[in-house]
Amino acid sequence: MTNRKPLFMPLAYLIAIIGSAMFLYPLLFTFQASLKDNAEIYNDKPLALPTQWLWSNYSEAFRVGKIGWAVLNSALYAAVGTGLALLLGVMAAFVLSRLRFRFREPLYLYFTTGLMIPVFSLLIPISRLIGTIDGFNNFFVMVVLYAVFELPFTIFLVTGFMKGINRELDESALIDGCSPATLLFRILLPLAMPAVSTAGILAFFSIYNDLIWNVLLITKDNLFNISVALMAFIGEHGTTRMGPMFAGIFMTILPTIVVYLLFQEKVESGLSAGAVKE
Amino acid sequence: MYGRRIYWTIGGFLLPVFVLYTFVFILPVVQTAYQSFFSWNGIHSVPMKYVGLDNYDEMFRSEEFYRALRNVGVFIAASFVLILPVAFAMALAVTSKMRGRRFFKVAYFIPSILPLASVGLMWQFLLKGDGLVNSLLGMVGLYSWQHEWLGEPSIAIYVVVVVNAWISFGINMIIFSSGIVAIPEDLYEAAALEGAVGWKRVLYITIPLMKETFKVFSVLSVTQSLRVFAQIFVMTGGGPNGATDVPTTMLYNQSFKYNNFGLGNSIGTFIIVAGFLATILLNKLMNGKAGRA
Repeated sequence: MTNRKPLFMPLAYLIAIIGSAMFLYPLLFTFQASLKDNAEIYNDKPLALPTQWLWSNYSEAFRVGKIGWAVLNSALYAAVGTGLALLLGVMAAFVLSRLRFRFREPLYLYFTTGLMIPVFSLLIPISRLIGTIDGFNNFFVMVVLYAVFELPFTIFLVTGFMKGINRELDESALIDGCSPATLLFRILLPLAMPAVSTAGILAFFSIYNDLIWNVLLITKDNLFNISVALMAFIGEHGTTRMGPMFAGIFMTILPTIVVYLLFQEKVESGLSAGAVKE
Repeated sequence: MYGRRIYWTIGGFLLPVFVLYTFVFILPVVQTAYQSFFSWNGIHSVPMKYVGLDNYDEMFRSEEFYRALRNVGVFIAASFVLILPVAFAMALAVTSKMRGRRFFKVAYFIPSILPLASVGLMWQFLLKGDGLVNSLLGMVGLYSWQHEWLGEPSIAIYVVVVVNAWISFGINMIIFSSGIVAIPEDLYEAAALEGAVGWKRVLYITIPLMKETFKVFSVLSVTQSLRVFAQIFVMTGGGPNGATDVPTTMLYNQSFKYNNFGLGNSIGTFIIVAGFLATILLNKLMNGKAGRA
């Protein structure tokens, strides 16, 4: 801010720096502790660097906790789930934004109603549904579920954006003999990329972070995502040796930090759009 | 311009989405509501038994349910007394001409992108009796402040709420920032001529012009508080002794721990209705924009 009194600035910086420490220090501590043994984690010098850097904690998290595998699983769930959500969402958004037909408005309302429904209220019927189709421990089933949960927001965002694209484009494309599919995927989709990528980032993060559906529908450890693998690792090996637990936690958060640092602006606008839904 | 082709287009593009969405999202909503009138123990071969309003009777009579509602209330209250002022101050800092504002923005936002389960487990470790928080308090000599933070029923919910605030300061900072940068610069210049500088410009220009943003925040703080789940699930599981239960964790525990699926469904119905009402009423009240329930 301009026009500040000179006295004010140092104070503002001090507060801003203390604030950063409050957010970053717990993560830094987690990293430090991930390289220590219990004796060092619990001694009276929690701020000290490890005397010996125990990278073996990480190999234990890999081997015993299968955290590396879980990170890969989460990334796969997120990538495929997001891809499916975007494909389905974009097709629906095309119809809801570019075509004129009788039930368009009610259908749009129908799809965006999902925005108001917390998915936690659906735990019981969905686990029953998955039970009746014998779909437990099934990657494909998980991905479809994840994609559908992301649909309302994707449709909401992309439909809104596509409404703003000039309609004359459609007419000239169709007159030139374009099929509706070509019109959508070759012409409209590239133009709608800002909205599609925002929806995609939000979907990716929320699927990567999923907890409850993996808890509910997966029992085989080769399909565990990060949340369930971490809980299982900590549950089984307890807190007798904290180093590997912190290593596991750090392994699951590092990819999200890297993705964020690579696409800062996009992630910030994506996640806040997800919250606000303007 | 599509002619008859329009029906093929609608059918081909919309039908798969419609079917999936209906079966996976809308039908379960109907089932939750319908099955809340039945009692069921979760075993497939055992049929459901119609019990009328018994589940709701049990729900509205149980003290645990009101405690869960009160805990949601604590989350909502914390949004206004803790998250709102801090996130707003953070937004002022990162939209200012301060040096290093980009770094501060990244630092403040990082907790919002981390996996909830990982962050929850991390804080669970840091808040243990022999964890970082207590050792830091010990280092500065505040032994009497040390607690079993998540283990004492009287304070556990406040600790969970503070951890939740730590997570969501960043995202709310971004929401406030976009409100702040939307205010045209020349308004500030005009105000500066009238003598509005420093705190006065925040008080008389920024805050009044951000009414819309604050409305959005208010809707969000209520609807998001109804959705809190993962943080509590990994940190306390609703314990100690139900002290940190919210409706979502109560639904999970009643159904998948105690096999009381009827009660679980009535809680689920309550969450759906509350989510709808909160979103619609608050938006009507605020006459603002839609929020995620």
